[in-house]
Amino acid sequence: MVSYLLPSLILLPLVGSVILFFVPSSSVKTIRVGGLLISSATFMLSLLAWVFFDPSSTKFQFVYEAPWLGTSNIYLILGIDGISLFFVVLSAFLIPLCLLAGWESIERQKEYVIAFLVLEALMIAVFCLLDLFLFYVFFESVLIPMFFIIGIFGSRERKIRAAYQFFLYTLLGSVLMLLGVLMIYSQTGTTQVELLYAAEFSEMAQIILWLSFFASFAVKVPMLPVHIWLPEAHVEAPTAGSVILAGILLKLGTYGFLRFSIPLFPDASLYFTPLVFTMSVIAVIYASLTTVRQVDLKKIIAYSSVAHMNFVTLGLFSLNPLGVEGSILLMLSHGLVSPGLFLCVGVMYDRYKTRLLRYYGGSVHTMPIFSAVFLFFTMGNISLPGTSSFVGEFMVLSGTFVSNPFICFLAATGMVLGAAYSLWLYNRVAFGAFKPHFISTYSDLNRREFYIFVPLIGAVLWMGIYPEVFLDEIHASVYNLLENFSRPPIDGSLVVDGKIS
Amino acid sequence: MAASGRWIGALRSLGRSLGQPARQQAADLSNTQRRHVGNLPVKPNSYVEDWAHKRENVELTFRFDAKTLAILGTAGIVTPYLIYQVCVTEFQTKQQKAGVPVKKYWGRDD
Repeated sequence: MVSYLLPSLILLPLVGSVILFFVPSSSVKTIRVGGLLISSATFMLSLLAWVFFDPSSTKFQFVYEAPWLGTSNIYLILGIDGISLFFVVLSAFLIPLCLLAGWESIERQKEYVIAFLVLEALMIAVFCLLDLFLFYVFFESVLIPMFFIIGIFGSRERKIRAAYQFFLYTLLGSVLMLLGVLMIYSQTGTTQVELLYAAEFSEMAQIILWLSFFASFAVKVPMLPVHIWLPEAHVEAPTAGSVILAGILLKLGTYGFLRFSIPLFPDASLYFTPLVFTMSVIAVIYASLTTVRQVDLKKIIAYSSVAHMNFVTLGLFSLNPLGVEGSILLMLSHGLVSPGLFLCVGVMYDRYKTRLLRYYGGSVHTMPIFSAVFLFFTMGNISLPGTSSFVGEFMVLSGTFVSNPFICFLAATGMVLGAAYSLWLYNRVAFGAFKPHFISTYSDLNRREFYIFVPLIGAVLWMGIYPEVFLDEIHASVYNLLENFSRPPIDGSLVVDGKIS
Repeated sequence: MAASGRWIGALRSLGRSLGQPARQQAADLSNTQRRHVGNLPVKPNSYVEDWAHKRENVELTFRFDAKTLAILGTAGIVTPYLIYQVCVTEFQTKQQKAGVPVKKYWGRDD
């Protein structure tokens, strides 16, 4: 029964999208409500996975296995551990919010809902797959619905350029990864993750394979200098597209580092740690400084996403439990705060069809509820204590300090710059002078918009006030992951027979 | 011809003076607030639009000259190189102090 949980999570939105395909486009209400019910049911199922998850086990759980190319030793193996559990839950959590975000502003509802349900199934599959080859296939296939979401439902003529840029950047990086996957398959005869964890590659092979995987994951994160596609894609995507791009798709890259690069190639990961640190810390500072000079609301949040995601890579390559757990927490936090900010921008864009900062000002007088919600997510972006980002960033910086204090010092300046651009953004939108010569009619959040924000606010506060709930599920898997680095866990816990003693 | 122009100008200024000033209109929220999302009016400003266009399309105005090349060299090559070297030195110094074998890192196989 439990082994069918993950296939059900993937199949439910897929089957739902097939059913909605046969509903006439004119039945907009049926399509909207149907999509919302299907995605909500998927979220409930993902919560079941959380409830039945055994946090003390380091093994993959809810494992489902079926032959795919049995003759070539490639199997469809699904399973989750503490690392992937919350990404599955987060994917299922954000899709209903995305559908609600496009409830009124999107005209072609049928295509919109189907694209998001397909995307949901693919994203959940990526986080559950325990076969490297199939991971690659699904990792790439996520691009297809996202390409359509940006290209069809985007806002301006420039959306086509953004969609192509998004597609080509990520695809070019991934071609190298495919070569790496083929090399692994030719050397080991398998692509099953659990078997590969036991395999040992020579030092040179590790370096080549690490670089080939890095080319793909670094584009997805995105790291400097391959980040150009992200602000463009964010700006042109519809609000829900930006939500899912920031909330989940960027995490595919860091998840790839965590699931494949670090455990499969530990020596190469150590060998390239200074390179990743240097790239990450430059990205944190550069992206933060670039954010300050942006004039487009979405670009500001997009560049701040680049900075936060490079904080994540810093934590991951600190290669100690504190840093890695902090990275996972920061990824989850960013998956809540950044969508919240994009939804705030979406609220403004839905009304005025412009994202230019110069047109806005003084919203605290005219849109008080919106301003309060926007303030909350801005504080989350700053990593204010009590919000989820604080816990993640604190742990990442602590982990990086243990590993390399110099890099930690440089990264910490990113936090200061983060506070600067976030407060500046809020100040210009919410305070400042009234600009009636640009905008003279105002409308605060309506009920639908308000209820989209409520679960996000709740989750950010929950993770910020009591993060132990999340860390409990992650501990065992992270310690198991870092076993190859022969560094004892900081609190001295030991893993015995797959259980934390 | 000139007389009709004057009449049109006078009518326009009368219209402006009769119309509610925009600031007052914005302040009067009870009249202007709407319950549902929709296309609310924004008065586009050519200066703001041009300015945003320039900021968005930096590649149209960017030129390779001595100044930009110097900035590119400093920010894109020298700074990352220095950060990398300090980072590796930090790692290796820590390992030496801890008495563990010094690890090899990319570009620094010493």
